[in-house]
Amino acid sequence: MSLFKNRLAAAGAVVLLLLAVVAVCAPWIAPYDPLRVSLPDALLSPSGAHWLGTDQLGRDVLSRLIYGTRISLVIGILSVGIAVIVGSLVGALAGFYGGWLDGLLMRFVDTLLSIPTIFLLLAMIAMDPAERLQQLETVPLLGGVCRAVFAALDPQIVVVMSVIGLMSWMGVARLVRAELLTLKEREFVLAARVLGASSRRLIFAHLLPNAVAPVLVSATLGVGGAILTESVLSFLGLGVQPPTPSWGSILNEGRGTLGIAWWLTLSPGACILVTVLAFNLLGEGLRERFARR
Amino acid sequence: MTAYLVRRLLALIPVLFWITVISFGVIKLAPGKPTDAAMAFNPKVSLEARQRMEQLYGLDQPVAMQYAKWLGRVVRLDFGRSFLDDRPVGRKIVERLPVTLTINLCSLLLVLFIAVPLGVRAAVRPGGAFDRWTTVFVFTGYATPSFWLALLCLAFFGVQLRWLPISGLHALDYESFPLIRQWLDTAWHLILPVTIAAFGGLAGVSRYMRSSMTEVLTQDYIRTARAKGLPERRVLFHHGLRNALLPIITILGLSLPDLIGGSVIAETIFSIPGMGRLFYEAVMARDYPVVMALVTVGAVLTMLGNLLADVAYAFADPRIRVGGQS
Amino acid sequence: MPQRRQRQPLSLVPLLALSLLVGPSGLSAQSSPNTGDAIVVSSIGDASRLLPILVSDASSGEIAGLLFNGLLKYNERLEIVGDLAESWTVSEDGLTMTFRLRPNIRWHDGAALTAEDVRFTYQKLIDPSVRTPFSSNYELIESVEVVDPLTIRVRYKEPFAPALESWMMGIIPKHLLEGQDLNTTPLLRRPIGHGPYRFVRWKTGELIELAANPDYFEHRPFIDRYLYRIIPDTATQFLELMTGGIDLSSLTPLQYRRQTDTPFVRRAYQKFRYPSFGFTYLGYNLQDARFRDVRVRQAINRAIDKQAIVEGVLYGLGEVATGPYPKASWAYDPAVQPEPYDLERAAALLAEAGWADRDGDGWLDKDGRPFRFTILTNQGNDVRRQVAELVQQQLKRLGIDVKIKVIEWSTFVHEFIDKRRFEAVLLGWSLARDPDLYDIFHSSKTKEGEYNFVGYASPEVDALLVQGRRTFDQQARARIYHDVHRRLYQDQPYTFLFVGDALPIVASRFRNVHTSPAGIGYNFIDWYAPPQEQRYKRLAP
Repeated sequence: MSLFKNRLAAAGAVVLLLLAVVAVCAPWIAPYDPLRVSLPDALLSPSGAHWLGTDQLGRDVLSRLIYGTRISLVIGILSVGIAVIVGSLVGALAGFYGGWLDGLLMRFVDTLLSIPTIFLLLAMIAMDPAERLQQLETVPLLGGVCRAVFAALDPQIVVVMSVIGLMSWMGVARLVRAELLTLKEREFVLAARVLGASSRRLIFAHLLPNAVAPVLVSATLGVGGAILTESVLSFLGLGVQPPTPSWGSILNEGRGTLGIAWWLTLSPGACILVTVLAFNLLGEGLRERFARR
Repeated sequence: MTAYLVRRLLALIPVLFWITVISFGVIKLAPGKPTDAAMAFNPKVSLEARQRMEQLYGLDQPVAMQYAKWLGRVVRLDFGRSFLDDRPVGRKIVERLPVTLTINLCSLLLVLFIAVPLGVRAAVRPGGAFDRWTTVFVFTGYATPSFWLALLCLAFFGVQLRWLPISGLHALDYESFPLIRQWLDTAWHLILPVTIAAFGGLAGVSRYMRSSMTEVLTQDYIRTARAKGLPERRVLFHHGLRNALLPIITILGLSLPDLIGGSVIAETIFSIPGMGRLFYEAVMARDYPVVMALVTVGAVLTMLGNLLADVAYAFADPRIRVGGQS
Repeated sequence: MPQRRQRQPLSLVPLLALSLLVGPSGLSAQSSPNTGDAIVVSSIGDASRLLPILVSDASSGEIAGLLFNGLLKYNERLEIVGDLAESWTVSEDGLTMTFRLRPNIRWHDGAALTAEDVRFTYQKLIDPSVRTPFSSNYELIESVEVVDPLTIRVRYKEPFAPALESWMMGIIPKHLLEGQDLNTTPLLRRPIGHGPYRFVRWKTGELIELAANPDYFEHRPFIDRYLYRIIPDTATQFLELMTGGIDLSSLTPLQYRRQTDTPFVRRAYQKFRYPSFGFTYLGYNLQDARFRDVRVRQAINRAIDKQAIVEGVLYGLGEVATGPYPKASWAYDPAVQPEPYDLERAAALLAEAGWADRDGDGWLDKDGRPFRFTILTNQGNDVRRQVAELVQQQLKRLGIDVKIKVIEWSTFVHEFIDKRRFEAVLLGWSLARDPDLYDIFHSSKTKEGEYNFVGYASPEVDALLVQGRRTFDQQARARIYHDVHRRLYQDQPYTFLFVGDALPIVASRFRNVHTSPAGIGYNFIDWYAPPQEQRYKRLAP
């Protein structure tokens, strides 16, 4: 039983490794500058010169997809990172302390789940977060971090990431809380308590590490979800700014050309599919492995 | 348990109140006014006319006052009138609800019809070729961006093959059809939206079915049944499946609030007037009455769903003492 | 996604006109028109209110335009002619207009349309409790007087030439609406009009159906039914076109050039193109110190290769613009020629203004700061997005670093335009036929929420704009607006980019469809489908 599961999960892992390599080595792999506009070359079908053809402004699709790998992976992983950190903290507190704190936190989670996130998105756009974030660069310590981050990432991407992360931490919180509720009653915890361990030590040293398994599974699946969400946001025009190439925005740009430039629609969608599938298979493999323990 | 339930239900009311307050605040936070569509950037409309229009809609009053007015109406179950077309919000929701419910129910049935047998079969011989292929299949369904798939299917089945209609719910001369033909026509129009919605939902149910079934099959009573010499089919279905279905039913219960939610992208692409588009268009047009009504209804359903989940969880694992400290 | 342009509701109403001199024999050389069939039209959005004075979106405007007429209208040569009015006069001092209505015009319920209806319409337009967006057009009216059942006299406080256009507003029925709350009347959803088509039914979110009015005063429209299908996605709309699901739609430039050349389309459809009445521009925030210098604006004007943009983004389906008027307008001054694309001249102008690349980083700088600005544009408009990306590339060659930000419409208007939080914007105006641009370029219109958001202030242009509104003589007005055109091009508060073509496509079975400066809809009631080609013979009664 374990052998085949590992094979699928292994396939997923291999694909993801390949994607990570592509993302890191993008400047060396991509045949063209993804932002190079060349109107005479607009909408060329796949050929030797352009393996995946060109878009309406003559930009090479393959190069844009390669650079898009960076954006998608970064958004996926970092947004889930935010969700996991925030969610674990809240869930741990709720699950460990129980009682009124649990009630309060879970009601807070319920409230957030009911609020229309689209409005939050619109409000965020209006406050011009990219500008605000760039102003942070002047702050002494934080500024250095910000500068480094923004050298690598467009502030708009940071905004999109944060939004997706803040939209999804609630599920992690629930999960962690449930795990803690179960784990709390297990023998090793009672033993640790008897030995006089403090609450903080209990949470961080004993409980959370054991709760890692389902969180890890959820995180792996969550990355796939985040990538899909980014594509939906771009489809609705609320994602990254032009001319940044994210898979979702390439898909969106290709919408008007469905009849004649199928490569503009097919390739970014296929990339999203393969990547999310790989994450899901990996996640399932992890789940199987942890379940057996 | 009963006391706990009652306590939880009563606790819902202040939470609902806070949800509506925060939602209203968030909505007002987002820039833009419902009068924008008609009046912003229309040189024939003067600034004074715009301001007057805002007054007529009560938008110049302080936010707290606007909220208080809304609350006052809502407790009498009056959700007000939409700013888009001045129609009662309740009627707009009731118009769109049947379509969304139909699509969601049909897609749910389709999912169950496919995912349950898939999960059972995969559980019977875990690790086999069948298990592997179904895993890839259902996860592909989950991983596919639905709007991408929708456009590709439309281009292929609708344009290339001309087998299916491109958009809409009914043929143009629907009203003149006999009842049977009306049903068939609607079904024909719903094939693609329902199928695409189902494709994405297969993964969840089938994986759950599989793990539930494998767990059940390791139980002692299954081994007993087999030892007694019962035919394999009876073992599987009568003993195994019946018990394995229980958690599935819980899951179904939890997804009740999702039944009224529609996918705005699918509805846009297929031109279906459903709840998803209602919400999205209301948001874009800053149609507060509609948005608040949908948020409130959605919140109530979500909270009831969560309550069900917690109760079910407590039943499942008696070690958890809900609502108390250890 | 819906096209985001500043809307003039009246200009989007299919303008129906048939010269009284052309009878049935003059219409078609091929066959004589016959009735029957239906035309299926697609729309991105659903309508919301079908009474003309309350129309707040394009879809409502299109439907209301088929159900209601105004006193006047534009004919195919964009001249003002009578619609419900068979004649009208303007007094010497420009303060009084008298309209004489045609006799025997009937509402769809049989009642007669009289001057009382006109006065009632005016009263509701200025009624502060009615949610009409159009009240400001009628502010200068002093009184509206019913002289006799077919004559109405309007007195103005000052001469106001654009007022004639305001009388193209649809007239609403007094006998049905008197005493009702116009904001919630059922006639908003089930209107009774007097126009060429009658209302049949409205399936919310799906379909609106209209039927030909046999008693229409010009003649009964030949096409029996008008079916308005709501298809919110442009990709889906195009697919419907490809399978014959809709008969009338508009194409994007790409679709026009590259996707509609299959044998099927050429057989089943007829394509048209004509210049639209609007333009796309790059607007500068004139409060910004960099853009206050006219040489900078002129330099950017020279550095943007607009012809390349028209070729690349519009596939040649448009024309470079030099001012706010399209060529079809009598206000357009043909003597204003576009300055040729000239990077060197642009660089020279910038150098004069103090910009040079002193630190060798590839970007121009001044006072130690590089020349960097952000172009804002609205979400949902693919053409504008591509234009912004091209402008970014072109200005890069000049040494200017341009960033692009695409923002959702409402947010864009409230947070960035109204509050003047922008450096440059890429937008378009969709204009009324009357060339009055007071609201956009007069220096008084700079309050928050008004339309001179670039902050343009020229005393000469101000005076011209005021004068242009007060003169009724078209030749005198033309001279004034020629002057405005010239000055705007010199001053460059906007860099005028291009005027795009409208690209309607119609099923080929419909005859009598012709382009004109007013578009193709001006003679909609004359379109017909020969019996052997009709598609929709049997629809619900």
